[in-house]
Amino acid sequence: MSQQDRQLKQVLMLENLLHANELIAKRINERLSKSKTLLINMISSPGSGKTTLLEATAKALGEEMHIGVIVGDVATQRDYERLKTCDIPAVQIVTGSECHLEAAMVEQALNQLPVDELDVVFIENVGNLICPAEFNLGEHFRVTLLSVPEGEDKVLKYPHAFRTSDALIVTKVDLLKHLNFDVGLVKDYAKSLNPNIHIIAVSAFTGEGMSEWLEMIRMWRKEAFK
Amino acid sequence: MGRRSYVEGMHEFSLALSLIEAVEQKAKEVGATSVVYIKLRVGMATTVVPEFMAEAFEVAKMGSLAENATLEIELEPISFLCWECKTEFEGENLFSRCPSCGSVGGRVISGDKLIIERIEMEVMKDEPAGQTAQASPDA
Repeated sequence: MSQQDRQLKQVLMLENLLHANELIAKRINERLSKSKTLLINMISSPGSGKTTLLEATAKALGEEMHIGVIVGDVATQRDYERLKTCDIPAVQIVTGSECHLEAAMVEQALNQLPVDELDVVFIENVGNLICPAEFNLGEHFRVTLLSVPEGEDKVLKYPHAFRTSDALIVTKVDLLKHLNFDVGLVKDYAKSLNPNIHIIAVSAFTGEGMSEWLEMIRMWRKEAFK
Repeated sequence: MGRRSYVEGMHEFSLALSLIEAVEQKAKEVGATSVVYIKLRVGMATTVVPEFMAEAFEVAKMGSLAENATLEIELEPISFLCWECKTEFEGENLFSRCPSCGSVGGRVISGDKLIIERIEMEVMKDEPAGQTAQASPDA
């Protein structure tokens, strides 16, 4: 085949690059809506307290709801092992080099959970405040955590997750007495990105704010499946 | 650490793989032999760093139909609808101020997506007259 046999063809695509991910996310959302299983995607930097909040949540809601967890990490099963001791079904996704979870990984993980028997599935995304914001996992609600030691300016530096979240959980607020952290400032920053965001200050350690967080999960279940 | 492992640690790499996948699918639909040009619109409200995307693309395209393709990235400003006064305005980051009332940010109307705008491919020249030309699926 010589060069003369070929010609150039232009095609206008105007296609969302994340189209394939969106399709799978939609499929996940429909499937879980059918079984009335609430899916919550939890995003934060490493070490801001996702696993600790989930442990406390599982303990507090264990009698009331059937909970499952999907845990994403670049390496190790440490979070999975911790959550397993809470007596809830958990699936670990080890992403290798990937810095975030994608819908296809979540769909596979859901196949390993007794989804029809579960009321809530939490996705503990890979610890990273940037990349996970770009990927719809089919969740009903998205939560971003920001811990007190990280500082208020993380909302300014990494706005994407906050903009696309339904709730912001300020974690480790028991440390407020030791650190210079202005919860009001964080609220202002987050509200300018997203005026509808719910903001809850929580300490899984002392239990402060936990009842508000649990109440929101109950409210979301009603809202998602009314 | 080699170039490949350094690139694969960025989320731009998985986005570049999705780009190649979408473009290859289109190329196969029209029976193209290769993809030579891709124009990608990167919204400024996304998490994508254009330089990293360009770098990731160079690795992701290897061995694909787009192996020799050039990628053009166009940055798309963010269009806001001001939360306070409902004025439409453009900005380059999510904390841009409304020129009318000075308040920060607004509902993002556009500039929060990654759009494959157009591609250029090499296809076989039409068969000479008298022979049956193969139907193009997108005709």
